[in-house]
Amino acid sequence: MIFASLLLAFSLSAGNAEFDHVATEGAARIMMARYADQMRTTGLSAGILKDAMLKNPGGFKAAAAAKDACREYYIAKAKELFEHEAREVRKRLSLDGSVVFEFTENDEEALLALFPKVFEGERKEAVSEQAKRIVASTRPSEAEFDSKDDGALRAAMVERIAGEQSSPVFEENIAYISANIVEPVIRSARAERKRQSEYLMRAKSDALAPSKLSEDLKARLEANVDRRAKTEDVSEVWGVFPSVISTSLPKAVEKRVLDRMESFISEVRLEVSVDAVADAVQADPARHATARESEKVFAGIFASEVLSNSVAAIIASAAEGEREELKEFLEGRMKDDRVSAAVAKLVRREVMPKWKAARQEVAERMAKSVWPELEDGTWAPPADLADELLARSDFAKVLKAWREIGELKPLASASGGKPVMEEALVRADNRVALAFELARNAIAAQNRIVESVHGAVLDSARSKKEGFLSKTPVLNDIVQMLTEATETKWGEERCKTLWPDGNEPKNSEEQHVSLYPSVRRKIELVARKILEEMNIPKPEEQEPKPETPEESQEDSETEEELMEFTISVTKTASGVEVKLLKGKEAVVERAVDSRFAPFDGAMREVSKRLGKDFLKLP
Amino acid sequence: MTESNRTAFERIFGGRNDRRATTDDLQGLLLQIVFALLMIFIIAYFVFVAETKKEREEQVLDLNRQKLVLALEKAVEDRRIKYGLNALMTQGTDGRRVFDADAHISDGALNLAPAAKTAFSSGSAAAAADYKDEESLRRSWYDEVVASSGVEALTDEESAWLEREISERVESVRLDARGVQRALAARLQAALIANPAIFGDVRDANALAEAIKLKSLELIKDAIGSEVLP
Repeated sequence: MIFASLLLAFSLSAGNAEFDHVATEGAARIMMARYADQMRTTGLSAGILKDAMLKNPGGFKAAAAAKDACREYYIAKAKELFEHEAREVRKRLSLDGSVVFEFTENDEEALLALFPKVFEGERKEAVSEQAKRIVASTRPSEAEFDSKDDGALRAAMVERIAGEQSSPVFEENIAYISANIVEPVIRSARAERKRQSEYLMRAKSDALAPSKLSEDLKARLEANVDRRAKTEDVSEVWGVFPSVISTSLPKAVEKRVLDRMESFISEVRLEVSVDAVADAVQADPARHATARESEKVFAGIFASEVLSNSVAAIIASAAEGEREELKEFLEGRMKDDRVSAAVAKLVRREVMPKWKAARQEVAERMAKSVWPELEDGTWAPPADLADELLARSDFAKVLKAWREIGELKPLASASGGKPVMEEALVRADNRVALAFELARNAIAAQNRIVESVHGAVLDSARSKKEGFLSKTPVLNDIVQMLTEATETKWGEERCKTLWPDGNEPKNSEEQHVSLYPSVRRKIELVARKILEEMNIPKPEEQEPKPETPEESQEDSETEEELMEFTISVTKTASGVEVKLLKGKEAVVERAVDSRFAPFDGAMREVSKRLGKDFLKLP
Repeated sequence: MTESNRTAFERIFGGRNDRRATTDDLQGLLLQIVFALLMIFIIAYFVFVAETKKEREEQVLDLNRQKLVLALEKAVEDRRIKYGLNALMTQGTDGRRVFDADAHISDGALNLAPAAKTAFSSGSAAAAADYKDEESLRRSWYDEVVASSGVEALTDEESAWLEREISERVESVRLDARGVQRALAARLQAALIANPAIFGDVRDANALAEAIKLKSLELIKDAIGSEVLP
């Protein structure tokens, strides 16, 4: 009974332990469930993968392999932490190892779902942290920089720097090293090399001989590099690059000497002798007939002269011991493009203008020698020819081809078939044109005189007709009267009319003395008119008979009068002034205010008056 | 052993060849041996007597204790009934009464037969009331046990022994009553553990375990409508 009682007591009181145990175990399960939930939701605590990668970078070097390795590590670590948490919970609750907590497949799957993002973030952090610790104490030598291209140099430096680090470098940091450590060094070296090359171009040096100049520049460069080594930041300090000495220095020497040569060329001043030009033209007139061809010849001559002068000057400016070498150097570069261009430029800018002036003078001399009569104005065209040509509407065109005109061929061939400079030919053309213009002026003046003596001759004829003892003049008389009156007056006015400035040619007394055939014809016509007018009473004695259009036309047909008018249009401040000029006399004037009246109205009126009143047109 | 005795001994049993043992040596030695044996027997006799006396006294004590133990067992059984523990017992196939807490839980809640529920409820209340003052409880037990045992006078030793036994039994009954309550509460904890949101954001494991315990006891209290033993 006691035993049964004891057994019952044991089973009843067992509830106490069971109560505690169930509660404790339940609390443990709840804690672990929460832990597992948190792990599934947020993953492991931050930095686990990062720390693992940084602790053993060699095992996580390549990104792809690192991801696989980290995945395994992540799960293993999760299990480890889970077990650790379970142990802690058991310890806190004083549970023994019989209470088991499992890291389930679901937990693993949940963590694997979180893994990619976790890995990405922590990989980035690990890479960044490692990058901060990367130091580089290595730099390529100047010779190495010269001997390798950028790609090979970059690769070599990256490898070197990566190898220098205390631990293996992540794959991503290889690119970091290349971009952030190596690239600046390469850029610095490149900039310095360029600076050294440019320094050689601008460093002051008085040496001219290439070898001396080369030595001097090299020494200056080395001194410059040494100075910079003391003052500049270490990262920007480099020694002299071998390529600068082997490549840039010779180029700099060449350029500098040629620059000096160019400056000497630009200072050369050549004088162009007119006589020399004349002699050259005379020696080969055909070659120098056209300005273009002559210019080519002389340009060559002047270029040679400029070159030899400048070479002599530069050699003279060099030190005694440098002259021979400098001369040899320059002689080898006479055909250099730069030299040729500088010489051509100087010749074009300084010499050829002088040559042009000289050629002009030579042409003038030639013109004077071939056509002295044209030059001194003693030539005048034959009167008949002048009358004929000046009356033509295409006079200007005909005059251009004056050499083809039969009467003028002797004049044209005055050079005897020898080539003549084109400027002299042009000069002759101008002189011939001037002579024809002079003839035109003479004809016009003579015609004016005929007009002007009309009245006087008419009166004289009338008085003779009315005179008791005098004979009534007939046509020939009247012609003679008119002719005499015209010739007399022309004689008085001739020189003043043709040469108002007083520059008369030496044969002015012989030129345009006689009346031109066209003037004589006009005299005849006027004489006929006078004859008619002799029989007509004076205007105060009879009503003026209105002219019928047939009569006026007949009159106008009988009068072959040369009339020359000029329409002048002058713009003033207030408007436009249109004048119809006959000679120098304004016969019709019309002014319009540009604010009110249109210009074409004035023109219409002037032309209307011209046609109606002067030309007697229907 | 004195020198003379040693010498006599050696003589008797050999060792020294120059002298043979004398009769005196032999007698003296035999006398000493007999005396020693005699002493042993005397001592044994007295021990025997003392043991026998003690056994007799113990037999007397055992008889009283047996009475007291019976009375104690009865008191324990009475208390089990009083506290409603027996109402939750079931009869096993071997005839023994067993307590199966699972039998009283269904769908995560306490499911007692009405009579058992009434008995367990009133019993829990009685247990809570009794064990509020354990000193008084032990005294009442003492009086009850002495009265029902029929032992007229208790020796000091018996009294002390009875007090110890009562203390032990009182504690045992308390643990039984508490154990039953907690066994039932433990069955209710499973549902709480399956839905831990009820415990809010308790972070400490021990605090959580305590919360589970307290909550399950609350459920028992609510189910039976009376206090449970602390």
